[in-house]
Amino acid sequence: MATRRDFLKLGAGSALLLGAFGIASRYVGRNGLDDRREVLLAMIPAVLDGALPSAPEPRAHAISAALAGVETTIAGLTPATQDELASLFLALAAAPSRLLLAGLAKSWREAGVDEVAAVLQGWRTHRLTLLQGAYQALHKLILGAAYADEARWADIGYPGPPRF
Amino acid sequence: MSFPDPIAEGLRRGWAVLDADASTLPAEAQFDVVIVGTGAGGGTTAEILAHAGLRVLLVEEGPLRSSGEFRMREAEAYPQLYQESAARLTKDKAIGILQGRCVGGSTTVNWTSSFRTPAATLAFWRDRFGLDGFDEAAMAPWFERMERRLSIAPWTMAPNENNDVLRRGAERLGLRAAPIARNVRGCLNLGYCGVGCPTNAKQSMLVTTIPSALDAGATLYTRARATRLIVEGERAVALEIDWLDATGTRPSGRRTRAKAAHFVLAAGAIASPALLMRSGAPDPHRLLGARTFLHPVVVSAAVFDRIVGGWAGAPQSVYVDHFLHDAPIDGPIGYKLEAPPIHPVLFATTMTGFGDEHRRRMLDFARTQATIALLRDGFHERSPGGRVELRDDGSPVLDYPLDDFVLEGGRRALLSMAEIQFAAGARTVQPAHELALPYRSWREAREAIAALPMKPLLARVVSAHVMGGCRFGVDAARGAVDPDGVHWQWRNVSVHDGSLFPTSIGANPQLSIYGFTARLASGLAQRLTGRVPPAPQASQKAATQETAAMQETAAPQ
Repeated sequence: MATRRDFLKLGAGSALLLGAFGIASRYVGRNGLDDRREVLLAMIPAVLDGALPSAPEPRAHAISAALAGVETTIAGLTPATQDELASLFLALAAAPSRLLLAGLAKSWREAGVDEVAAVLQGWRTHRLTLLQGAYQALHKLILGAAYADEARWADIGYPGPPRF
Repeated sequence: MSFPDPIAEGLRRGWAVLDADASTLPAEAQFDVVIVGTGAGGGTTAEILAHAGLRVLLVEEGPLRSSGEFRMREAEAYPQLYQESAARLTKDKAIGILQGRCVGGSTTVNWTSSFRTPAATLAFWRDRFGLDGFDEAAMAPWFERMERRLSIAPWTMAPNENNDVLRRGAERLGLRAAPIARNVRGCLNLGYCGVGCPTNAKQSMLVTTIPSALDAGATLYTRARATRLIVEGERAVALEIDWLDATGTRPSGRRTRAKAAHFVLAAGAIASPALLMRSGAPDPHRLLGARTFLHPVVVSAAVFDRIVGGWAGAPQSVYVDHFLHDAPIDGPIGYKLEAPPIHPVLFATTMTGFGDEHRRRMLDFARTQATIALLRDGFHERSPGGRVELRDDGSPVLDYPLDDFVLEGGRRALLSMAEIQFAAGARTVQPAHELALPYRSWREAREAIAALPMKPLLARVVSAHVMGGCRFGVDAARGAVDPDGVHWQWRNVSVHDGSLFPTSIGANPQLSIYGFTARLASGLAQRLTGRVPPAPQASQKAATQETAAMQETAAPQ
């Protein structure tokens, strides 16, 4: 059984890893925005599975609306939190750390909804608090953006604010 | 129907308000008193000092928004009116913190619940911290004064169903449920207090003390960040202010030095200690930022057969204090039960799971009742709270480790809430916890909750009350500031906000902050002017508007 000390070591290692990717990215020219989009475009259909339309066109539209909502939310976060998220998306997008953190050999673009859902399910109760935190950040960002959207209210029985 | 917007009217009357987007901003400005923050402490202090004839500057990091702009939409309110877009987290990400960041601070977005500081809390401060002179009798006149000023009275309309479930369930179990006092005048019972009151019924600082201070000649800077105090010897001489850019989160590069004879920090229990830290304040006893409390909150969601509609009606109107009194105050952690408003974003982000699992919770949105338990932290040696730290960029973060002492209290609270919800007729009850499921009976829930691992990040924990971190104490070894709120080492710097409190309050803290800071501000005004300051009154004009609004809404909702 892993001891608390092992957890701490792993936790610190992962934080270092994220930091290292943050620094490395400046030299290898990774684009933070592209990384973020790639990861989010895989996460959104998994997190909102069942709440998205099934017809391709409305589905694509709903996914891009959720993506835009998440990006607006991120833009309102403090610089420190934005940096932290940028490191996370970078680490998730880059192949070696994606394999390490998500256990995913293929790219996010190639991963199916079920595969992404399995990754998220694993993170929910993961022994690395870094990944539990990542799951919760994505949960909050994506579901918050989705249900901020008036288009989704009728479906859940919310009449919206009163008018006067 | 349209409502008068007292902010728009005041600006037309020529209030001295300067925003970060002004074409010219002064490099230097001179006042008698600079107040950092415009929430419960800053607003209360500003009105008293301005009416005492002092030249006052209020510095607010957030924007000035008012009723004309409050459209009751979470998508707009969270980024505009809350710290970190309502996504502020503790250092290990295990606790979400809701705090206001706008003119009026958290009072602009709180749920209006008003409680005097419980007598047991005041007695604990006297017995354990030697804080004499703050007992129930000594504080009563200050609470009375602020209750009058802010129209605080028990809510007499029927509670909404979300609150009534808590009342019914508690009473069926023989527990006393009582109505909550609220700071409202002519409230239309809409239920949108948390996203900015669109009718100005909520008597927040935004529509009471701050307009009053501005009418008395005070100046307000908005989207202006208090970066640090500039100190010569042991005297603060100026506040360095960074004006923010259009994002509202980064400095634009423009800067003002506000000079004053006295500085009052009222930026809330995370930002006030952080400002002192950035300013290099002496802290010989390592008290600054320490013992920061949150009333950690756990949540229980119950689904009923009928519509609950927790988005409509006064968000909090019923409370149950039984579990604060069933054990000694310094025993196992006690908790206060209340109900929260239920709006789509708040609900979607609080309910655990994703995909189909989460989707099912959302389809029950309208039939869901939520109960919350506020854990009374800080009264036991195993509940030392958290510590405010500075990140590399100078921004504050609260390190609040959740240990078993607090989380086992959370487990007891989840059990109490589930039992109450089933007693009220719930079909299912689901605690906000990554491993919890909807339980179909009290018996099933009791067994499952008893077995849930209560660990950080698994149990959902949130907070809307930040307290402590600059506590007042009878000597420099026991407080960052003295019992008058004055910094022990820097004698022309005071703290007037929730960071004064040496423990949590054990109740929603706004009225505690109003009462304590009214008293401290009156003392400060007297020391600075040599006269006893007048007690500000609510204006006659506001009273007239209230009557008109009441008449218009005499018909039931």
